[in-house]
Order: sequence, then structure tokens, then C-alpha cells
Amino acid sequence: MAMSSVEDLYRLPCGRDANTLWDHVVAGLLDAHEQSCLHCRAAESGFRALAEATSALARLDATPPPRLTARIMRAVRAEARLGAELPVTSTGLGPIRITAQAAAVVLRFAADQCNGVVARSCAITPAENGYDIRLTIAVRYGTAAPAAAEHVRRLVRAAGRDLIGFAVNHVDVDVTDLLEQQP
Amino acid sequence: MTAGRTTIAPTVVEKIAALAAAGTPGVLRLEPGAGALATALRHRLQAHLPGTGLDGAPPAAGVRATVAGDQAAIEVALTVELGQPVAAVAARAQRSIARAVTELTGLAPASIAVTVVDVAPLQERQAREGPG
Repeated sequence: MAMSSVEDLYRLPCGRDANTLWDHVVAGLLDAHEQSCLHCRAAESGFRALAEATSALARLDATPPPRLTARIMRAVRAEARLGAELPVTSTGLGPIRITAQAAAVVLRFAADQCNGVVARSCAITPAENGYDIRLTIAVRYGTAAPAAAEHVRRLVRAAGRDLIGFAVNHVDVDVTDLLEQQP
Repeated sequence: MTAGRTTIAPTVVEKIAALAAAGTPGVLRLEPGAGALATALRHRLQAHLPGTGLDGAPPAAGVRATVAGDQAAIEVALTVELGQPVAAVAARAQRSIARAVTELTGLAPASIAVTVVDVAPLQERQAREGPG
């Protein structure tokens, strides 16, 4: 699955790399995008607090816990995603929401189950009766694209209902790439 | 009944809710935001650095609770195991939090908002949180 690559783990929803942003925050040098982008700013405010805490750690002349960086990155990714929350349902106890990013992981995973298909991007927008999904996929050479797209549509709709718990309205599938070899 | 008053701090509710949520089948872990993680780090530093100005116990990462009267409002951010039904797992976490908070604090859970911020395969937990 494309999502599990190391680069993607540290990528903000706007496409920026969180490690680079971290360096810029620590150095006090934010570029124009970082100063205006909502995702970058959300991550930055968290980073700033963390930078203070970790610089205090550094002053102690102690080795930071080995998994600290991983925890920080996870926290920042969680933070950066707080902006886009999609209502799923409401129980008697309170609302249940899922971030667009987490929902996209589930829907791309579902699309990947189709033989010959590799899911790429997944955009989710609220519609009157649930959510509209727009998915881009790559197909392996030899796979008939229209049939694959139809299969993907069914898989994504079922995953929305069964694995997330929300109704899927339209599923637009854009075939944007052809894979010539088995990866 | 003896005269006197019992109060429950939000941190206590947060820790109970965090344990209940993390123990729910299908929940991989709770997700602290960057702000919560920074606060937790500062609390850990407090032991070494005098004058950091923080009182009380560190908050439970990934959970925020407010207490008003005999009611508690709770917000939880968590990661669900890939392949598990998200809404069902989140609803199960709500019930388990409600049960634990009611039983252990006597507060009524007025609202338990659950946000699923990530969905990850089970082996990711072992890879990331294993020894090292």
C-alpha cells in the first residue's frame, strides 16, 4: 500500500515533509507556504511546544528516549489531521468522527483489493446522502480499466459502509497511470 | 453519611477513559496531538528541572475531559486497526469509557466524542512500539 512508505508517514496533508518543517521551526525560518498553510501552521504550533520541551531535554545533557522522534512525528501527524474531521454517526453517548486521512486509508486499502489496481489519491467530500469519493488509481498492463474501475467502485462503497460506517454516494474513479511491470 | 465533599479532577477522568479506550478490541492506540505530547514531555522534565511551573499529574495523552457538576464531557482521539469496522469499534470504546467512568468516578458521561485519527495495520504497532 502506498500509504505505508516512510516518506508518506512524515508527509503533511498539504504535501510538505514534516521533517523539513521541524527543521525550519527549530531554526526559526519558515517559508511563505509554511506561514500561510493551515496544515503547516497546525503542525508548527505543536512543533514549537515540542521544540521547547526537547531543547529543555537537550540542556539536561541526557539522551532523549529512542522512540521520541517517532512519537513526535505521530503526534504531529495526528495534529495536522485534526482539521478535516468527517462525521460518521452519533450514538447516544456522543459523536463519532473520522479524519479524512484515516478514511482515505481504509478506502484506498479497499480499492487495492481489486486485482491489477493500485490506489493512489483519495478525496472525500460531504454530499447530501453521505460522502462523494474521488479516487485515482493505476492499473497493471493487461487489466481492463473500465471493469477494474467498476469493481473498485463496488469495493469502495462496501468499505465505506462496512469498514467505516458511512454512506457512500458517488465514487468517481480516475485511471491516471499504467503499470508495465509487477512491482 | 459523613459531612464533606468529594471532587474528581479531569485528569482522573482522562486516565480512566484512556485505559478503557486503549483496552477496547480494535483500538490500536490513543493518539496524543502535538500539544498533548509536549505537555507530557514537560511533565517528565519537571522531575529534573526546577521551576517549570506545572502542577498535578500529567494528562492522559489522547484524551481530554472536562467536569461540570456531576457530569463529565470526554473527547478521545485514537487509531483503529485496519480491517476493523471503524464506527463499531468507536461505539464500543464509547461504551467501555462510559462504564468505567460511571463506575469509578460516579460522574455521568454527558458526552463521549470519539475521533478516529488514523487506521493502521496491526503489525505497525509491533514494528513501532517493539523493543528499541
